[in-house]
Amino acid sequence: MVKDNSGAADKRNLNATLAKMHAIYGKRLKSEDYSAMLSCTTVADAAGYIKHNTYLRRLFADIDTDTIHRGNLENILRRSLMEIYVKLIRFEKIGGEFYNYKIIKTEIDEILICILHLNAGTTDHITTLPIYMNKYTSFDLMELAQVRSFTELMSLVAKTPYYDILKEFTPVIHEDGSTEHIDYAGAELKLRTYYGNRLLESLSAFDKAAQKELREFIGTQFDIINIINAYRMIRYFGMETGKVKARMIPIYTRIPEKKLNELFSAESEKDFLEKFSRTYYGRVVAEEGYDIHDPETSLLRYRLKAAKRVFSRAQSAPVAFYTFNYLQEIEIKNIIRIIEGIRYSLPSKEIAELLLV
Amino acid sequence: MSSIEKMMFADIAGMDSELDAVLGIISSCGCFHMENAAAIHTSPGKNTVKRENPYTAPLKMLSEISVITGIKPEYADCSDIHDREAEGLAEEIRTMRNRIQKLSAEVRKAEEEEHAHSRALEEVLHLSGGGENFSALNMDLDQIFACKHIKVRFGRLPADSYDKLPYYDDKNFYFPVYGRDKEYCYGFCFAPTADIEEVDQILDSLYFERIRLPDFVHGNAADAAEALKGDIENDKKLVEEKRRQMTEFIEEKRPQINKYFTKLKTMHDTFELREKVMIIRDKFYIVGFVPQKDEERFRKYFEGLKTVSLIMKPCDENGEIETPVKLKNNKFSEPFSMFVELYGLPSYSDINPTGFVAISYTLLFGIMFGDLGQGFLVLLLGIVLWKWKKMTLGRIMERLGVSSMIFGTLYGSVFGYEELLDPVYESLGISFLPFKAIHSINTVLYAAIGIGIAMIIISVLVNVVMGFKEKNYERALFSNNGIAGLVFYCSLLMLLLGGMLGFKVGGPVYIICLIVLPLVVMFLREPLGELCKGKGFHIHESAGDFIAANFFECFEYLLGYATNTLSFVRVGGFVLSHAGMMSVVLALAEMSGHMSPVVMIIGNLFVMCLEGLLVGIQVLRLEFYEMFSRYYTGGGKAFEPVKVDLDEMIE
Repeated sequence: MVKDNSGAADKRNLNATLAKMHAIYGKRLKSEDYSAMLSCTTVADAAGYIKHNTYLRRLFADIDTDTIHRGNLENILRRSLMEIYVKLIRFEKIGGEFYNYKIIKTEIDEILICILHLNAGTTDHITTLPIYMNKYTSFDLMELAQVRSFTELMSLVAKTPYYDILKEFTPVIHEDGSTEHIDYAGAELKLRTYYGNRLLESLSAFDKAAQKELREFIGTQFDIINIINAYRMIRYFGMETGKVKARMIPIYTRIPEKKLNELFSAESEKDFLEKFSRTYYGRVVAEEGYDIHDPETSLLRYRLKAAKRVFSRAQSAPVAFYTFNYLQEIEIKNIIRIIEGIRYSLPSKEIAELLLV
Repeated sequence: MSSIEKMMFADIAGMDSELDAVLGIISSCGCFHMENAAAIHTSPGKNTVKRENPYTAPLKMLSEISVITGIKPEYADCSDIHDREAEGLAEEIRTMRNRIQKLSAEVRKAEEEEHAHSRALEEVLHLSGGGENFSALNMDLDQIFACKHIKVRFGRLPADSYDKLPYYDDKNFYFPVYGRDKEYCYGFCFAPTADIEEVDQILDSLYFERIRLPDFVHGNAADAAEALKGDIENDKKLVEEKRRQMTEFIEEKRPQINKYFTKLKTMHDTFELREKVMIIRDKFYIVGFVPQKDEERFRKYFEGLKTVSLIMKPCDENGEIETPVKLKNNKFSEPFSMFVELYGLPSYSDINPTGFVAISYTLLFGIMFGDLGQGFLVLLLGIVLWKWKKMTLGRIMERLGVSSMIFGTLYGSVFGYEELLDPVYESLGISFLPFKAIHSINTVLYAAIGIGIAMIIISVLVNVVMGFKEKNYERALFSNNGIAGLVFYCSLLMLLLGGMLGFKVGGPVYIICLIVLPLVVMFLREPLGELCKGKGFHIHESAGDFIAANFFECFEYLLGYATNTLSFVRVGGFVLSHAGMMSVVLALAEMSGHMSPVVMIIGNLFVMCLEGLLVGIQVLRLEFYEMFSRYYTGGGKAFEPVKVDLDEMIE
């Protein structure tokens, strides 16, 4: 494991880690890098640009970018996020429950993918499996890829907290031997709620200022996830009033629950956008000059900007650590979007619109 | 003395048949600034003469040659090519370009062959490098790939994917690995022919990168490697031979390419001038500016032309096109025009401030960076930069170096040694020199302020003169940089000086007439200016707005006088800092034992670079901010004579 599980907070002055994060962040991709990548016409060209012109060159030192498989390229980029995460933790040997959040998130993500495969009856989970995480996770990812039934899944996670969370989703087996689908949405809600609560509880180990900053930033993250999910449910699935609220992760931060209930009970997309514009997020999004009619992109842009602000001012290592890793994640996602866009021959203008910068 | 070159407005008209000859003259004479004739000649039947430039295509071919060879064409004498022959050069250039393209393709092909063999060797070396797990490595590769019932895939699997292979234990394939690095595992994948499709899908999902050994690889790995090494040697020789052939051809054709380029570019650029020519029926019109001193020379070019008329008149008579500006400077001030151009050229009716900038800049730099030794180095560096690099800054540095040496002599400072010149002055019997700045701090600071006051007063006086010249009485008389401002500033200074030195200046009459009244005049400068123009005493906005705006502006003027004057304290500050910094260098040299020459050299270089740069910037700031802001606006248009640009390629 990356950390010790004592749960004790690391109260040392972690200025060196802080400085290291700023040093890495200073080398981040600039708009001209994105423009250069967007002007590439092949995945090999884009990979070549990353290899020869960006700080990510270390990832591709032993790679021939002319022949690299796109899937492998994306895998290397995603793996680099974990490498930096681990490197930072090991740099000053930071410990504590909080620093485990990325592993827990990976475990939850993979369990949910496994459920999707079980429901769909497919067996190719192995292809997307982040095998490089196997040495950190609390269950064997290779075994997870081999799971073919809910019972097998439960026996794999038997000794983990996921067992208790998932047991209520045991599907009904009919007399004829057929099995009902696992309630994916329910399982996702429970697992994500568990993740959020565990993450927020782990903050109590830090001093009050750090706790406050992280609570606000992580809370905002859940607010935004909820709002975006609600918007999608209402816009794309026309979900009935009242059902939306039940699908929300019950972690609310910047909007009072009453106001959120109003938002989640919107009867149409128009009604939702109107109510959204009166919330805290609606106001800040408008103040930033983002398109209020596209809450999804606007909120993600707002969150990115907030992350940059919090990171640049952060005095405390956990605050900087969390926001830094978030910023790294966005950068890697942007690169992957560009690579996918090039692969599927999207016009560079359209790819550029998908980027969060 | 510096001034602005007098310009003549030239209006050229003639018959279409002589247009090319006229364009040839104006592009080669080097003294004609061309304007768009449409701005002057207005007629319903007018049109500009723009058609496709016939010289673009051959120039593009020359550009292609330049890209292939990496050699930029240079100027060459092309007087033996007549203008009429220029268009006909295209065919010859095309032949040349095609030959160079062919040679280049041959070089590329040979290089690609070498690359392919080198790549194959790399892969084969992977094969011969491992082998513990795979006895077939010593087998003939042809035999491996020729198996009928077993299909073989050779390549690399990402290390992450290799870890996933146990998942496929139940599948019918075998993947022995014979080598690995940080990212990849190299190996062969064997599968029965019947299962190969499924296995290929699995390998693809694991991001397997298949390496297809080229047909020319035969035998076992070791034999193949040996054969490939031989091939690579041969390839290298072939590449060398092809390159030699290409270089020889290019060298042979180079003088011709340069000559054609010079001719075609001249013709091309001349042709481009047609955009600014106005044609009315079969007559053409060209307008532009010629410096007065070149008028006669310019006229002479047109003497042989029958249908062309050239009318030249002084620029003041022409108000429709802004007259371009060419600064006229003497040898000393010439390089300083760089600073003036940086700020913006003066307008044609304005003054040329280069002379004032040259003197004040040189003087202030010398005062602030006075050191005989370091000044000498600045002078040497200036000479080097100008002679070898043709940098205008080098010429400025020459002047600044001399100034620094003069003031360094007065201060008695040589590379930080403040006592080195003392015996010289003693032997000459000069007791008041050298001037030790560090021992007379107050004198230095007061002198700096004195210099500042003088500079500000000169700037205001220049502004007054300019105001009268333009008949702008608001600027000359009533503004903060006019007579009113000057009276106010000088009176206030006298009052302060009187207080400091103890002589009596002041009294109610003095204060009312010389301080309050100028202030009131500055407050009312706009309506007073209108009054002088005979438009009556009018205030265009409401009384409240007028009072509020002018109150704050007057307040800003007051602050401006104070801050601008005090700003010159930096002149004194740098005199002291030079002495201070050099004393640190001396102390460090002494500390490191017997005046270490290494410390002295490094210290001197450090102080010279740091202080030289800082002083240079600070003086420029004083010039632009404290002085230019009082009398100079810039905004003029540069005189740009038509010329052929041989540095520009047509792509």
